[in-house]
Amino acid sequence: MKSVKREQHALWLPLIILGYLETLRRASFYAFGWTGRGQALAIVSTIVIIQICIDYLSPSRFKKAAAVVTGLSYIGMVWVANRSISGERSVIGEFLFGLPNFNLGIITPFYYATFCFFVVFFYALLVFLLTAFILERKNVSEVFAAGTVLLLTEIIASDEGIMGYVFLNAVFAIVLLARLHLVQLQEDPRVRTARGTGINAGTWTGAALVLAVLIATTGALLPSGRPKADYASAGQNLVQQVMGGRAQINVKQSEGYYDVFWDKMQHFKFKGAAPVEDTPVMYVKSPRPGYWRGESADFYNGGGWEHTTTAKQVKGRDFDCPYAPKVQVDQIDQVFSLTSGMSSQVLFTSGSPACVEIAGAALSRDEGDNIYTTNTGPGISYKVISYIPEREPQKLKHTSQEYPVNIRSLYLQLPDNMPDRVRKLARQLTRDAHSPFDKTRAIENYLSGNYPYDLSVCPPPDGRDVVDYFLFDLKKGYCTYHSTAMVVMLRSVGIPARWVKGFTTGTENKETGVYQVDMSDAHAWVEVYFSDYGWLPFEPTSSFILPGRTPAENKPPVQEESPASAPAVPQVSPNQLLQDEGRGFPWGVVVTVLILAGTALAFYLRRIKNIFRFGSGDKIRDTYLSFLNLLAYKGYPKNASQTPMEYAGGLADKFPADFDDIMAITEAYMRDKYTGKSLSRSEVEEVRHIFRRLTDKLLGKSRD
Amino acid sequence: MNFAGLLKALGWLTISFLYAYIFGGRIPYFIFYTSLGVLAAAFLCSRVNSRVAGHCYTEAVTAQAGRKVKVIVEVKNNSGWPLPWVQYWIQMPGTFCLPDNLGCYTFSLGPHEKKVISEDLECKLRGNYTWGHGLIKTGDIFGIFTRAKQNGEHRQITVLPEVCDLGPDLGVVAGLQFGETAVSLHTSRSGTGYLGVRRYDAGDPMSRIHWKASARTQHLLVKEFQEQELMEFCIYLDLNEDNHAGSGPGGSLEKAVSLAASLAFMGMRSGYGVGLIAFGPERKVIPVGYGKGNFNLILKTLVDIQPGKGFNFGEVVGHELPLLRKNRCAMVITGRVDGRLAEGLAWLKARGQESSVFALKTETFGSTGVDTAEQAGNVSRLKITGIPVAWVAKDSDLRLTFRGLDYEIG
Repeated sequence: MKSVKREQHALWLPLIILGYLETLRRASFYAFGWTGRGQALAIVSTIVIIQICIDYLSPSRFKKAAAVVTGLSYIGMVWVANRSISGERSVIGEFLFGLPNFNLGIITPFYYATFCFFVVFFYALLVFLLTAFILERKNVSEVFAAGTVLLLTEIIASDEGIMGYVFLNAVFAIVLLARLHLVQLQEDPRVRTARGTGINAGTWTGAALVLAVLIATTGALLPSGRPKADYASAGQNLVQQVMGGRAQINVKQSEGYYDVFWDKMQHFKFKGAAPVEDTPVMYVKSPRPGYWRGESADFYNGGGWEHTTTAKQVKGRDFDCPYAPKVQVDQIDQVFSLTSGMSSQVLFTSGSPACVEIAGAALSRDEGDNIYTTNTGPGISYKVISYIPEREPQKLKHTSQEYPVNIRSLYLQLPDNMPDRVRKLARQLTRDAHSPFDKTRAIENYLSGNYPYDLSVCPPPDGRDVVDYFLFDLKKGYCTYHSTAMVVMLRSVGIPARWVKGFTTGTENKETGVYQVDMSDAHAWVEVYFSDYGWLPFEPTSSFILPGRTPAENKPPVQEESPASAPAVPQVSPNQLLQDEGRGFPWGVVVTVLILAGTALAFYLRRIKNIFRFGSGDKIRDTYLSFLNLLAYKGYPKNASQTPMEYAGGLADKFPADFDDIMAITEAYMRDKYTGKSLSRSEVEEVRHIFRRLTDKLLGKSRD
Repeated sequence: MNFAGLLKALGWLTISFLYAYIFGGRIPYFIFYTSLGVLAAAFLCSRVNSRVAGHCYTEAVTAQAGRKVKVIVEVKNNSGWPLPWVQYWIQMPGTFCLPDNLGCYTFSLGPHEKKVISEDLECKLRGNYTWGHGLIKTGDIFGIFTRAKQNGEHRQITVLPEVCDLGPDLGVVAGLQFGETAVSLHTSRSGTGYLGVRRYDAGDPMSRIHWKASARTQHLLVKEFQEQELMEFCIYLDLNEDNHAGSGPGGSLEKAVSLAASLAFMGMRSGYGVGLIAFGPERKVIPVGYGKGNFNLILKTLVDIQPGKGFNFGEVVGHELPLLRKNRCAMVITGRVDGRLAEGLAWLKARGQESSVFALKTETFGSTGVDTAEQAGNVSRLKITGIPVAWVAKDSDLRLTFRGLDYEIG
């Protein structure tokens, strides 16, 4: 019976341990990447855990040595394999990582089979071993110590987005502690099993779970200080330095402007009013309209953009499709012809290039998908075949928020001194959105619906953050402001985005199918990265519609304000949104909870007042209860069925010399309880005196 | 209060606070707040869990080895808070042979709940035991803080030796032939036993006339009595440690004591006179007597006897046997049949006094130094003189022994 109960109680332990490990695993992937390093860390951790468990349960020097060698060898190979060509994962790395991407969006049958094998065999084995280890050791200190170190590492390597996993990990840890304690209470061989014994382990584990969730939720809601060190960035830098795979970054601080001569952008600074020029720049023959993408920028410094990636020369003219296999991708041919007198280092494309044909020029490409040419002669022509991905909202809504490390490091960057209200506004706008796509649409619609297009704006003051200035003071602007604001807000809610400049469609000649692109068509928009999808363009500027969007995505048309008329006031002020945010300390909730808890406590105290004897002042009753305790201690407990007088009478032969005192105390109690009159103070004191005398006497006697 | 737990909790709280204070941010503060919340909840839970009272007792203060006695534990939660776990550690009497003589009952208690737990435990050893001291432990659900409180008062329990029902009489073991009884009856005009009535004969005294019966039958009837010569025997119990093997309930000493108690019980029930002489560190003598009172006296003596060393059982018994009255038998229970014992018993037999030997097969109790050849020789000698020897092994059923199914006799 005892062993059956113990097994029943221990049955839930593997499930709780599985939850605990799962939160650590997912935190590892979140912190170090969903593939690659994240998986490598998970495998190394697993090897270490298995080695410890096997060594404890079945010690063997050979096994210990084999596990240590295996683990170190694996770590070494991972380190070497990662220090490969930057931006690319080596073949060896692919082989070593060798685990499927757990994102369900791209599971193929092969991946699914491998996934099941991993979970069922490897993971189950790990949970089983760890459960046996914990039960044998009768202690979770070692497991918790290792888990805490691992979690701290992951916290350092990631941002506060890992909060959810930390929350769950804390809950599982607390429940595991409680469950294990309840199991171990009945492990001792001296514990007897009889009818009426046994702990309601299931009920109390449930209570521990509820308590853990309440405490953790309260801890998450209470105010916290600002991070005093950006250790997430420092951690990421450390990871990159150790693991390699990152190209040298050269940053030029030279300025760049929209100009006749399209040089590779190094830096872009915001200006005030934008000039309008109708000078033709190029002619584009394309089967369908589109934005003609020039180049993107990745680093926002608060006053403008910087282009930090370095282009590498590419071999050949063909480029792999950057979109996930599940995405339907079209390819369209375009021919770009610069007007005479115009030259550009940047090659324009409609989307990500599949093939570029240009005479006598070397091409280079950087991590921002920007294509550059060495042929900077005026009036050149070239052909581009572009990948045009489908924009399927249903697929886009099911993308996850796990991004590769290189994407996160480049396209989630924000300056340290960025005003917090910008982040808060972004969070407020996206609070009801559950997927990255919905969040993107929310911000896009907000900007296009509340910030009118206006080319004549004042430049931002020196030292002032441009986005904050635009959102809360300027409240109008043109494409660079809208697109910069959208990129910054997306990054603040953890969605990778980049700023892109180029040209809009231009004017179509329907007879020839050629689009004339003028300088006035210069434009800036946003590209957003979706996991297992790729980069997609978005248009936050009011009055502009991105070509190729599905009808479901189209925004309602917005009346364009003419520069001469007074700009309309935004329908929803950002300050209003911040006030409605209520993201400050939830005083209302806390006060309500406190009132409810206080009421419940008061009710309980009142109910158990007699037991606790809070201020009852009933000294006679207290004295009588103490008297009963004294006699019970002496071996003469009162039965529940006995009246006080019956009980006192039964003590006559046992305490003949003290019988008078016993009767005096009993009679005083009976009078106080059953008659309407309370005893006087002197009578109460006399009874207490009698009781003290009786106590001294009885406790001084040895029991017969 | 578990101070080790308190120190660990404070240590962890300090570390988490420093982490939050130094690094700031949502996650460090979350860890600090959660730790504080858990520790505070655990501490409060353990503080309010101190109003638990309990006591334990047995259903009877006297029990018998080999039988079960009910141990009852009563615990009451005097607070209005439920207790996730309560451990009541009780110092149990050694007769139950529990690990460390400790029993622990673990359970949960609701608010103001009183729990009564009873368990039947087998008494394996005889003796007088003091028990009952207890320790009640409670704590929080996480096991971080625990409290312990001494509880309970001392109790006494007396465990009498195991008594087996050996049957209606000693049978052939006592040297009686099959069908014979130990009671010889002679009718007489006077005597201790009333036999019945018969017709008046000339010469019968007037005082013997049964007037009522005579009135009913209209004939003179007189009462008739019988003289009974009842059997008396004395049990000689060997408590020499060297002649015994094993320990605890499975030892030969306990078997011997149980046998002695069973013999006394059978003798008492059959109306025999029974006496006991136990040869241990002290020589304990219970004179031959009749009835339940004498039997209880023998039992109480057997409860406390312990083995000793430094004497030769055969020699001391050899000195004692000649002192045995003529109409009494000797029942010797020993782990070693030596020559001196055989001589004494042979002398007794020559005098016309019957005796029986219950020899314990100590090798079955784990003894390794048994001189079986010497024993065999002495047993043969006893056989020749007509003294029955019954071998009692560890797994011998004493009842079967007296049915003649499991013994050797000369």
